[in-house]
Amino acid sequence: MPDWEQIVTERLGRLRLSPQARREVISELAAHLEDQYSEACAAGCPDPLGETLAQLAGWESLGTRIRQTREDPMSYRQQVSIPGVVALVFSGVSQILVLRGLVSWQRSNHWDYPAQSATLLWLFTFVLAGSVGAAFARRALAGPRRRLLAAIYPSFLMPVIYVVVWVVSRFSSGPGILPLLGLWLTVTVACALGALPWMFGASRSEQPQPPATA
Amino acid sequence: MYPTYMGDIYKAVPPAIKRGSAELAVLSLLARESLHGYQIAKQIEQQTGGALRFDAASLYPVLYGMEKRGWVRGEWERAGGRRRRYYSITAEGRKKLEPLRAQWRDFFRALNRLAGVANA
Repeated sequence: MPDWEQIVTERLGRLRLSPQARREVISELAAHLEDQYSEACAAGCPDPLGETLAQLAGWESLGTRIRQTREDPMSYRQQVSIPGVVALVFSGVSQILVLRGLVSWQRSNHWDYPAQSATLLWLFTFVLAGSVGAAFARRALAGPRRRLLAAIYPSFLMPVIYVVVWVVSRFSSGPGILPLLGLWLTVTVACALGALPWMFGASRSEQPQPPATA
Repeated sequence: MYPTYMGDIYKAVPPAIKRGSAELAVLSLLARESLHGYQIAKQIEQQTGGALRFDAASLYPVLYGMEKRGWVRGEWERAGGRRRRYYSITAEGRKKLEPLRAQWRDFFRALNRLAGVANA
């Protein structure tokens, strides 16, 4: 009897699902082929293996279609929201630390740091936060699009803050909406830059999995 | 890939119609009893006299899609010394079945009016 699970595993190739969902799909397809093969043998088919393998024609796109239909609805939370919140917290904490560090440095050294350097440092915290978000998303088996979403998650909160700032600024001489929008775009790009190292390469689910067991 | 129907003629049928016919076939079977994937494929083939056939690569995306939409539910059971995933129709699937049947009846009536298929 051929090892159908091994055959299905090889044919499906990269199947971006959680390991458990992947094992279930492989086990189910293997059982189907095994039934097909047994029936072909019982019917006296001269080439039962060939007939069964003919079922595997057109499997090139099957992995994609299975992934589209088997994705766990919870996975968005696991792959985007949770890594995104981790990135957001990281971003907040790192900004507080940078700010305190700069103030402390300024007080102790009586040094006026250039505004541009402080801004760059501030932006760099978003690059790091984006990197953290994308890394966690990748670890949660997310695809590139979800890694990017998790990376730019910290910038999602900024429009809310900016609306508040903008409303307050209408009663004072604060910044207008356009500079705030530009700042938001800059932060989003900084976060996305942080995701770059995690956008390429195989996620855990793309690595070879052990064959499913019955 | 969707069900093979009357050889190459089916290849010209739009994917939405193929998918719809596959869903109707699967729901109709599961409305009677719970079945695993291979049994579904066999019964469709037998009950249509071989005119409609599913291979593994066609069947499972349809089943998983219907499961995702909550029309069917798959549960692992042990049968014949091996674990099988049995599919059963859900309340949502039963609600979907009648409108699907009506849509297909209307579709064939319209086609018949246009092309006189029944009298051909």
